[in-house]
Amino acid sequence: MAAESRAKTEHRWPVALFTVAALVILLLLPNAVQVFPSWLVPAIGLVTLLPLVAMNPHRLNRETTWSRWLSVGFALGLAAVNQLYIVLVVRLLLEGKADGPSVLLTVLAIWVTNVIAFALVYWQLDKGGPVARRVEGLRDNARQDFRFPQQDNGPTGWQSQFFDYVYFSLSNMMAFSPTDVMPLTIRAKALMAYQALTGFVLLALVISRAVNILT
Amino acid sequence: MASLVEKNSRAEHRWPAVIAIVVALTMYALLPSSFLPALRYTVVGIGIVLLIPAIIVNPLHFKRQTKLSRWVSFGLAALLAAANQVALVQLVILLLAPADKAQAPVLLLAAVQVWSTNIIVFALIFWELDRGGPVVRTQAKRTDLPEADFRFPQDEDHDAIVEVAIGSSAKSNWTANFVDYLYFSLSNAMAFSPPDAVPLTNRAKLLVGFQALGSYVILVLVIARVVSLLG
Repeated sequence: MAAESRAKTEHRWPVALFTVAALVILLLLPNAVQVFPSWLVPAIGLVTLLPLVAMNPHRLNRETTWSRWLSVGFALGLAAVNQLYIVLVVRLLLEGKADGPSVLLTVLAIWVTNVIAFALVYWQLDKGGPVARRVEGLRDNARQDFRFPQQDNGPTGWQSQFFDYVYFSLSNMMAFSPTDVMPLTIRAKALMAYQALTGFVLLALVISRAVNILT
Repeated sequence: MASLVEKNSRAEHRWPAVIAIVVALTMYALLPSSFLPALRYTVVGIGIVLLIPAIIVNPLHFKRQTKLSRWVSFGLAALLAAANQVALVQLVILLLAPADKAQAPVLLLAAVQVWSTNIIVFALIFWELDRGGPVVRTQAKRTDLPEADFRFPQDEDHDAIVEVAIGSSAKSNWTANFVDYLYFSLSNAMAFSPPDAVPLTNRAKLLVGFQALGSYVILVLVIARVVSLLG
């Protein structure tokens, strides 16, 4: 039984890959949008991740109360920090002093980290998180926040994994609306609406600004 | 005998896919000349060479498939897709570089070509990938098909009102053909999100997301760049 639940649990590396990518992008952001020393946020992120990786190095199959708090805290923290960067980049776009291509690159960087951060938040929140979704006996009656196409016709053995959340976070950021995945709870709708609004504002500002500053 | 007739009626026509490939290759040959000429003409040449055996194996309908023919047709789609991603990167570089106003129409044209070719090549990839490709999809028994990468509306219509249910996969043995994947690819390139069909597997989501992101970047940069150049 234990072996079975272990075989079904998620791999660590897809989420590790995207998380590290987000932290590296934050490290490389230009000074114009840095408020802290550039290494501070990635360093805090790495320190937070170390005990989590030590706990589940290959597959996500163990969870304690503190590891749950730490992983949710990491996802929410990354998303929150990213909102600060978005405010700074919006200010940069509205001032319009910087040169075009470098502003575009900064917006792109923050846009990508926003996709990753929100994917992490969705992945952590939905149905008790990645471990509880796949290990029996762990918060079995946690509410489902998102309905995936595989679940349209009632419950199945299918379980979502990290890349499913990355994909719908990406399409929410580009298309500003839920498509294949439907938010079911108020908190899921609030998060998706907020993310879509961010994507919309960034696109509108980039277009209106770039039309002027690239010439 | 009845099952054979049924199978034959499901077999897909060859020409919609051929027309799409020829259009993609023609657009490749006609991109503005500053656009990676060596790569483009090589791709057009290889594309034509790969297309000939594929047509010989299945001249009118998709019925026969060997391991080799599967690799050749998948390779053709993958080659065109990879080449177009190189063209897309080149387009992005050109769009970001300082340019004079005379270049605006050329840039706009190149963007339209790369964007439309992307629709065709991703349609080809989705069509080759889903449920074992066009031959297996129509010729194998449904229970023998590999796991589906995309779910089309017809796949879940059997519970709908009678006149809709008639056309469902379960009742009429419907399978998606090239035009279904082309439409999916087109609206993904315009709306950046899956429309009628939804990707189910990770590899499908990766490809659909990648195509949407490419189209999104082209749209943003074209508006930002070309509008200011044209104005």
